[in-house]
Amino acid sequence: MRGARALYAAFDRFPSRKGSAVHIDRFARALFERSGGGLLYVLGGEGLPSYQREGDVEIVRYMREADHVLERAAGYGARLSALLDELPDLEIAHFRDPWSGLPIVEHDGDHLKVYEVNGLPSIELPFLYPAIPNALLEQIAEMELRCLHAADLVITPSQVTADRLPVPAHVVPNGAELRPRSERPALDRPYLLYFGALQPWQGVDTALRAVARLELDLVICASVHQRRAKPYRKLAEKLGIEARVHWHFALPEEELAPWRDHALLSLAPLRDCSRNAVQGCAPLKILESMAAGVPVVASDLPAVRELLTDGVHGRLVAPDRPGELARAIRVLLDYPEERERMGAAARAHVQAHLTWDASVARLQRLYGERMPAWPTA
Amino acid sequence: MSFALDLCSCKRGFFTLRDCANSAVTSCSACSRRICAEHITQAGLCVECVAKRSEDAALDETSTTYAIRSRQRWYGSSNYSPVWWGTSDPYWNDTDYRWYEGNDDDDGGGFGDS
Repeated sequence: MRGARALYAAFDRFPSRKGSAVHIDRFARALFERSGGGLLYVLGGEGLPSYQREGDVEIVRYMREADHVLERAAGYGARLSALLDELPDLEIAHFRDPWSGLPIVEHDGDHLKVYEVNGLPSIELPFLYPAIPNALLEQIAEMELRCLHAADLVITPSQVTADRLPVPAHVVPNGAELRPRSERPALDRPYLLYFGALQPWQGVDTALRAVARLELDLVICASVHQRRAKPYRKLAEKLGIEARVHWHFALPEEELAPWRDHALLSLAPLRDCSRNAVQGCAPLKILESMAAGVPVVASDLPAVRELLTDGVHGRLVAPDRPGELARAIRVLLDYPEERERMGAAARAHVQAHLTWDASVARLQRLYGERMPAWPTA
Repeated sequence: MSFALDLCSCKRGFFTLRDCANSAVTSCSACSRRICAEHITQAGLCVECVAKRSEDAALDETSTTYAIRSRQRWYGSSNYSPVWWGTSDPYWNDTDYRWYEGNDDDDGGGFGDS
């Protein structure tokens, strides 16, 4: 470990089926390519090893479980603090969250500190734990603020997020990869698709309520454990559509791709809530559907407008309105040539502006501007 | 007649993990798994057991102590007390942990998603 010049730290299991893992994969690789290797520090679990060396990259995973998520975060921080003591040559530390950021900004050392703000726990935690005390959220917000002010470079995938941060931030968009079309999946009728995680802000309930107004199947490829689907399965039952909702969980990319490539439409019914509207987001489900040439019907929110134009690459509808979502879907179902035109335009838009290669080039330029030893590409 | 291959028990890969294809040369003295020359250390432990021991050593100064130490550095100025640690330290407020419903984190940590 001694000798590593670069550190990428994320309080997130890696690899996993979540979109965040795709993001970590791209950006950590970009960092390590630039620095000639380094240390990736992430969470373990699900049988992942505590340590790997892959060429000039070392991967250390924090393994200890805890009863409480913030107890785990504290242990994760303690381990990171100790790792930092073993990195005397560190030149750059890139982190994704305050749990990683605080040990880094508090550590003595002259390394460049890069805060990649994808989400702010002070905003997201209340959606996951509604009873969390406000006083604790305020303290977490202070931690975030401490990290933001101490960072030499702040990046975020969304302009909405950049605009709300109290420090200057550079937008490095999320991306997608254009892949060849895969084989048709094993379902003998047309379907709508939702894929991604199942947090409350995703609006999966809105999608179910819209499907209840249509004569069409919905395929849900959830990136998380099926336990998270319980309330949505119950809702589907209550709506009388459980037979038309097909669930898949934690699919690897090669199994997800057929569902994505052959969907009539891909849904991103994000809620109009502080997490999406105030904090901002850049859902990979939207970008990956566009890259596959599948039109997206998504909530009309500023962060979504950054990714697609209504009527050109897909349709934007009022959030939290199942009736409007169903109406927009029905109209597109009636005009297959329109769907095809939007899908092609979406794919071309991603190819021109939103590839991972473009995002990585932008990230590496930002690194290069701040690292004299790393010439700007 | 077929022979079971004696392969290393470690994993390889960055985003997609696979089994190490190297032949095992020894067993880890801690976990007893069969390990190849690349994944064994001079101490006779596999690299994963070494990492776990380093983690335990870092946490010997338990999470509570870490939080208290950190508090002295920065948390002290903000009164960050994320969880009741079960200590008698009056600093911790025993109502702080009740919002958490238990250890059902099967989403791999983090909170958001891209």
